[in-house]
Amino acid sequence: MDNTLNQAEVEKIEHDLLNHITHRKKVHNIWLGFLLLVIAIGIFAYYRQLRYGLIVTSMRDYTSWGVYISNFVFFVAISLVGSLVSSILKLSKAEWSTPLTRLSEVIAIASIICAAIIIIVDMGRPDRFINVLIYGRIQSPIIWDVIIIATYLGLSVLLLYTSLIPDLAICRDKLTTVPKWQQKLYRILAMNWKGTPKQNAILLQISTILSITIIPVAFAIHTVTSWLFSTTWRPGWDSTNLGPYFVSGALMAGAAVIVIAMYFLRKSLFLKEYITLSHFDNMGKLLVLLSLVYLYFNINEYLGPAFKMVGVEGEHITELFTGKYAAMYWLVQIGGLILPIVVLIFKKARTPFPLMVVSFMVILGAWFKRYIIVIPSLQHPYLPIQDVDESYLHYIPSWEEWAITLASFGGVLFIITLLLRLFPLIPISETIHEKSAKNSAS
Amino acid sequence: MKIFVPYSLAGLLLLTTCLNSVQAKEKAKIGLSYLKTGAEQRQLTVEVKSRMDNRYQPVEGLTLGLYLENDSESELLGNVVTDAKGKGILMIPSSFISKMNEMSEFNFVARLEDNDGYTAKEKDLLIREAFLDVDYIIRDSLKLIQASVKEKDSLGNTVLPTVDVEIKFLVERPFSRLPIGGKYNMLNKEGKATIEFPDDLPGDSMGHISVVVKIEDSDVYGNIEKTGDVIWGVPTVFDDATIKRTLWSAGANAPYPLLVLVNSLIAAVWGIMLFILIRIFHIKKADN
Amino acid sequence: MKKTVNNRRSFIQFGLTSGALMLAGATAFFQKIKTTSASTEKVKVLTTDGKVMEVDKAHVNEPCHPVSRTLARQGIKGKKFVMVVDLSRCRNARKCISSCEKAHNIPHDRPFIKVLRMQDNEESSPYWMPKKCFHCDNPPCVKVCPVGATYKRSDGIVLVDNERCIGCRFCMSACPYSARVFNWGEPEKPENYNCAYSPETSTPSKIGTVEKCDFCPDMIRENKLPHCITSCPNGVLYFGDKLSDSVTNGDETVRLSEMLRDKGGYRYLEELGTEPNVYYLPPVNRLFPFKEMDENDVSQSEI
Repeated sequence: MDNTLNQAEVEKIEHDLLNHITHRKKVHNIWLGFLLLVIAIGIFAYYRQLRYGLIVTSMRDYTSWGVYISNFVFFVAISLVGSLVSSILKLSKAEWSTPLTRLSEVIAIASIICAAIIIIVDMGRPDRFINVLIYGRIQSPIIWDVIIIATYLGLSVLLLYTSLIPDLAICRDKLTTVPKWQQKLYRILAMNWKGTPKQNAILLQISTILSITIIPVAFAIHTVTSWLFSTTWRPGWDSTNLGPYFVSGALMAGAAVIVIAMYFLRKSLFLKEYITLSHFDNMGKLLVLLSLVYLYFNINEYLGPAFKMVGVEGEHITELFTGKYAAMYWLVQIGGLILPIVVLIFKKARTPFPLMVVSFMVILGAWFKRYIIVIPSLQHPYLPIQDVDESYLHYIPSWEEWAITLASFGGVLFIITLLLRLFPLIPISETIHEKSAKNSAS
Repeated sequence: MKIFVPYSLAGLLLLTTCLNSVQAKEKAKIGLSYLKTGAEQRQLTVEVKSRMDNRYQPVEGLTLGLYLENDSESELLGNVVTDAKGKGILMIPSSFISKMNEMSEFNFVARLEDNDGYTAKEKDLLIREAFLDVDYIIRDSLKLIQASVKEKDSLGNTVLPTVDVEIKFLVERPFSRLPIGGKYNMLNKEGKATIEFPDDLPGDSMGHISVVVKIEDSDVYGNIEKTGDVIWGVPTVFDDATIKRTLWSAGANAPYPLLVLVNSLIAAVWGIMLFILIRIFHIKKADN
Repeated sequence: MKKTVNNRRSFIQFGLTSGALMLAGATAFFQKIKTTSASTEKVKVLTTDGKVMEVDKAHVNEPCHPVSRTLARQGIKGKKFVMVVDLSRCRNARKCISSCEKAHNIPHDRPFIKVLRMQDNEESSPYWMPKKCFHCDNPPCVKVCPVGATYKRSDGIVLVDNERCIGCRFCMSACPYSARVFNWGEPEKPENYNCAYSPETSTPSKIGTVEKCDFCPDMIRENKLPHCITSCPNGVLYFGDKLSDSVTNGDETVRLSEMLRDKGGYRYLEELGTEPNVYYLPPVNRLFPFKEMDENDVSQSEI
């Protein structure tokens, strides 16, 4: 390791960045307790769903996919953040992003796990999940999705783990006050890391391979998710634009999620020295860029059908633009896409609090955007909806659906919190490394 | 359906005559029909309905006696019990066939005896015997089916041509019989009717087609039918699409390009992951 | 590599199970004949290889005789079933719906058949359109099913195996004709129905699984027409075998090719490329003037 930093500086960094593992605050326990409560309510709702069937949801024969699926798409989208920061930014040598890599990987893993759980929640017969393995048909986009989710989860775990190894060694060496099992965990996971030149060479090799491999897989996970829709004839889904549209939306939402996480973790974990104002500025710029790309695909997605107004596709567009879903549609498009672009052009808006607020709007927009992609399409089949109960015509999620959806958010936050209790949020060894490199350069 | 019109009229008549005899018993409506499919195979079908809830419904489980009547005597051919559809079928026993071969007309009677539920009722059916012959002819590359029908003269010889009776030409199809030839095929003065067999009708894999020639619901002759088999159909080539490799086939029949693509992608990415796992263990060993 | 091993294994498994099933079926059949030798009446049934066979009536009239799930995947050999709907004859009598509900023990809220009030544009006259599963030759639902719970058979029929269905409802999203229904809650247990489930009978229903019109293969096997065909009072629905070029509505039998040619037969939404096996005849020269349905009509027709 480079010796341009003196021992005191190194120890300060280590102390700062390990602090949130060693010093647990009461508020963190309350936070975990709150998340557990949210999850417990969701589990109760799911118990009711298991007992009475999907009848407890508001889904019916026409709106046969609801908030579960749109929420699933949302979390798949969020999971792309891992590849965005730790791979795209890393490969493009945006060194400022180093403190954000672990955060993004943790968020990616948490959301991909919850996405997988939500898809099981949506199943009418979760008891038969094993059929997917026994009778799986390679022709079905759902099987592609199962394969790609498993692959992406595996890659994300590897990415997180390999970048953690040097830090785990620091934890192993420095954290002598933590419980025995935790020490043992660090010892095993650290893989005898001593920072030898050979170990450093191997680590560099695998982290390069991983960050290259994860990009196509990340694109694939959301593209395959978009194919669940574009392989059907539904209005709004029957589009060749859907893959890039989904991916660009995911990257935008991912950047917004990073900003929100940065904002709160920086405060609660006292990391202001490491997550600086320039991080917010940079993330703000990145968010504008990604939003512009998403705006471009949005225009592509809606202009053609709106210009032509073909049959049910036209009905669907009318419903979005001026009908039942107009309020939600325009709030999402203006509040969650256009406004952030306009606001974040100004430097003052790219400071922590305003940026956090804008990112929150983007996230909210992203969530409702997926709702708008999934649900109205199902309500515009080719053949008119007739002879059905009034309840089949509308879809407003039931409390069970909301509870499970909230629980999925709780689950994501719970996993993130747990991981941050065990592992340093900011990569310690990389921070030391970069600082010493900077010092020697100056 | 249409054979019931006269019966229901008769039933109405009966109803008026019996009006004064006050009783709670139901009145049955009996239909009787005759079918000859060969010299030895003749059958009688009864169908019993009764008016319930303002419409005629089949009556199940009634026993009716079927008789062959002459001027003086009445012989029991057999008993039938009606099924769920109100129908009962009696194959006329061979013991009666030789006797019937001597006759040129039969008077059948279906008789319901007075019982707990229904008043006594009978229905008679007069049938004149006719003989149907079918010839399958190929003339000038035309495939023809010729039906000829004869009946007995006063001396008992089968020589008289049956005329002006509609004759049906049908081919066996799943669920039903498909009429071929013109719309109405009447027997001409010689007692003959000829149709051209369509040259584009699918048969089985060899081109076999079962043909049925039939006099149907004749007031005079009842039902007479004769079946035959011709190899005049277009052989059907059955294309089992389920064994093809398509996107909708079973998992085992997935298209090769898809299998190659997906499996190679999986192999590539998981191969890389496996490589990385191995390299992680190399880190463990490279600690000095 | 793994895939091919799986294929071979499943093939062997399939061979073994189907062989065992055939053996079991054969022994059962002969036992049946022994015990019911008293009955002499014969009825015609359609065997799995598409032959019409005369069997003992007592055998057929048993309350239930669903074929196994394995046999139900194979289809009736040498047949390709089609339906023709003559829109000029439909007056929304809804007898097809009620007979279908009765036969498949399904409640009113998830019918396999719908009679839709269609109006192509403001100027054209409305008409009634009976709609069921189109049993497509390029079926979107079968394509997307992750577990092969819904499948296409050699006779063209698309069925659902509700003992394999995982309830993902991808098939419902994929079907452009909204032909599929889902058991959102626990379905009512059908009364007086104690038969084992078969994909050919689609009953009893199971919670969390998809269902749809099945073209009544259990009836077809007995050389009988599906319930909707025979219950229609106006002869709207024709059913038959495309390879035999014949369809029948129970009253009249016509050549499929001639009917489609002479009456301008078409398939709904041909441009989607799903290749449906249900044809429509346009609502011209109608048998009945169009009459709007009110609530009373529905309740009456359900009696």
